[in-house]
Amino acid sequence: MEPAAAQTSDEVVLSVRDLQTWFDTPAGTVRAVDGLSFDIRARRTLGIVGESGSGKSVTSLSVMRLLDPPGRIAGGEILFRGQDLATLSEAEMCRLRGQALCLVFQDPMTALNPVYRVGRQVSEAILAHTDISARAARKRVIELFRMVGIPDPERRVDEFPHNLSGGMRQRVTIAMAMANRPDLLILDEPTTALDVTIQAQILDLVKGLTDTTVLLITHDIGVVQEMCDEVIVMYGGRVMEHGPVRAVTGAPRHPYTAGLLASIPSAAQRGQRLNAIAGSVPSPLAMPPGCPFAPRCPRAMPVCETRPAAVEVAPGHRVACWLEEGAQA
Amino acid sequence: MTGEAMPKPEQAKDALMQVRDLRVWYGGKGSLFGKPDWVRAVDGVSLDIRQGETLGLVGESGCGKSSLGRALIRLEKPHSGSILFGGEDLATVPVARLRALRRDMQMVFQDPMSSLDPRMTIRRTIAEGLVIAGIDRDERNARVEDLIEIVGLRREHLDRYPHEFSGGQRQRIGIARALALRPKLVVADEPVSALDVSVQSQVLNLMKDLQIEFGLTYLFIAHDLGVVEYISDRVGVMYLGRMVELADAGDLYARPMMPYTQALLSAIPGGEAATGRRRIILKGDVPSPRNPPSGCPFRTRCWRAEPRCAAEVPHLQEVAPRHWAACHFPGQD
Repeated sequence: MEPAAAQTSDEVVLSVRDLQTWFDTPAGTVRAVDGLSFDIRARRTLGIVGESGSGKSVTSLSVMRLLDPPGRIAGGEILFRGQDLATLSEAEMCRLRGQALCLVFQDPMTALNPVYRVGRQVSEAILAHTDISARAARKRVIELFRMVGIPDPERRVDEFPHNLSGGMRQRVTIAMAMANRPDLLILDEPTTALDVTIQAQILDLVKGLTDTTVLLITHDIGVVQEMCDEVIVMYGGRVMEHGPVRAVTGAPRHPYTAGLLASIPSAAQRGQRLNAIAGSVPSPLAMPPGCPFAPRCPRAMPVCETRPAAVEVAPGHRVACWLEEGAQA
Repeated sequence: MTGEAMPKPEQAKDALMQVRDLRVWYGGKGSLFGKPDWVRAVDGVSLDIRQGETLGLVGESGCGKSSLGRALIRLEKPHSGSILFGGEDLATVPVARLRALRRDMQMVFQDPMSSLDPRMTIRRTIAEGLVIAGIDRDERNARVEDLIEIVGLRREHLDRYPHEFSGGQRQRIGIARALALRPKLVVADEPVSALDVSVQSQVLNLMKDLQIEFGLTYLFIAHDLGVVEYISDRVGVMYLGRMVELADAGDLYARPMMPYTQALLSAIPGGEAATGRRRIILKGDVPSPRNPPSGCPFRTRCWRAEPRCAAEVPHLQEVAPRHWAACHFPGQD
């Protein structure tokens, strides 16, 4: 097995620059991701949080190059270990996927093939990228199952997916993703289909993977607070706010982030009305030209009809809002 | 229940609905000579729903919370037990009478897309219950036009179809339909879990406003512990078909007495930082409701379990004022 490249503590593993992912539809072009930039350093966990249609899942599919037509990367760079994934050939991408770059989906039942035993599916991932015997691969699978906390792994490798609970299935897909010690693990809503006590088990497992660089995509700010060092808040395909989790969730600067946090019901608000954000997400075909949040923003101004530039309000904390000084693009 | 002491449920004076030892079992065919193979979705639940309150019901998938909610308005036929509502037992009432009683009990479903007929206009959807109730056309139209505005939509929306609306708007339509017959009790099963956070808060606000305006009583079923804490006056926790804890919302979240509730509340992501509560990570999965453990259903995953927990089913007892827990060793660690 080719060992993963040694990662020094602040080496940038993935650098996304001005990513544009568009979907050409008969009704017009949808800019699902519109100008996304970020770096993930080795062994860190970056969260992307957003509601439906924010572009967070399209981001993970873009990095993995798993977009189905009419989706396409229309611009920008996805630099991974010095290569631009946006322009890599499909054959080269195939070598990276499942080895250096792994994606874990929300629903483990659809990620696993129902007619094969789970052990075989995980060993397939190992055998595709390394030159070891089937017997050695099986041993490695049992080791992996033990690492992800599957009890009685020697027996479990021969089970079919439908014999396992949702939490166990998600452990299998994480074992599969970790099989080749990836440089970057992308988790797209990894616990959304799971119950809260099982979610706690899986998050605990991911926290234990301290040597791994993780991009975590979720709609749940609680999960971000629990898991991430840094967070990007997306809305309508754009980055609204990006910074250290503590700063963004503790003292949000963007009205959208603030509204999102205030919408989460808590005991403190019992008996009071929630600070709901008015309206709903605009149609992706009719995104406002400026700030996508402007039509729902309580602090919108005429200038919001043009696009604000991201302003660095504190080291590593950027906000795209006209309320910040220096937002002129 | 054989020979065991009946649990002594609380007796609320202002109860709108009194549920006693309710069982909802599914299946029961089994093999030719074997014992019937029942799935015990709800297994001996007793509770009172008080006039005007919001009773929250939480628990993980398969705990029986939805089956209980559906049984209370007789969308499921109970296996045994009683559901007293206005002096009548819904568990045994004849179907013709049930139809009349159903006007007082309505349901809001989780997925507003699959609970609205895609080929029916919103007007017909909301009016359907009124037609069945025999209300004449003019009155019907007036009520439907009223209802659509009450839930925050406009009259011109009435002649559109479900696909023309966003998820939050569809849930508003589902609520309007539930309110059409002016029910007393609304069972809301995961009414906001399909919605984004920013829209979820709008629907929660609407439900609160309507409760005050129409004096509604809610049974609010959800897996999101934060939402339930916010909206509920009292909260019941279910595990494997049983009610394992029931208390005022603030009290339950601040001082859970039953180990399962403690683990459940500690598992809320991001909660550790906010509440300083130590995370309890449970081992293993929920046992099958086809073959539940003897005694306490939670004992197989409980760190406080002792031999007594396997031998004897714990019943809900008042362990603190207005705080009921089904545990042989209740209390905080």
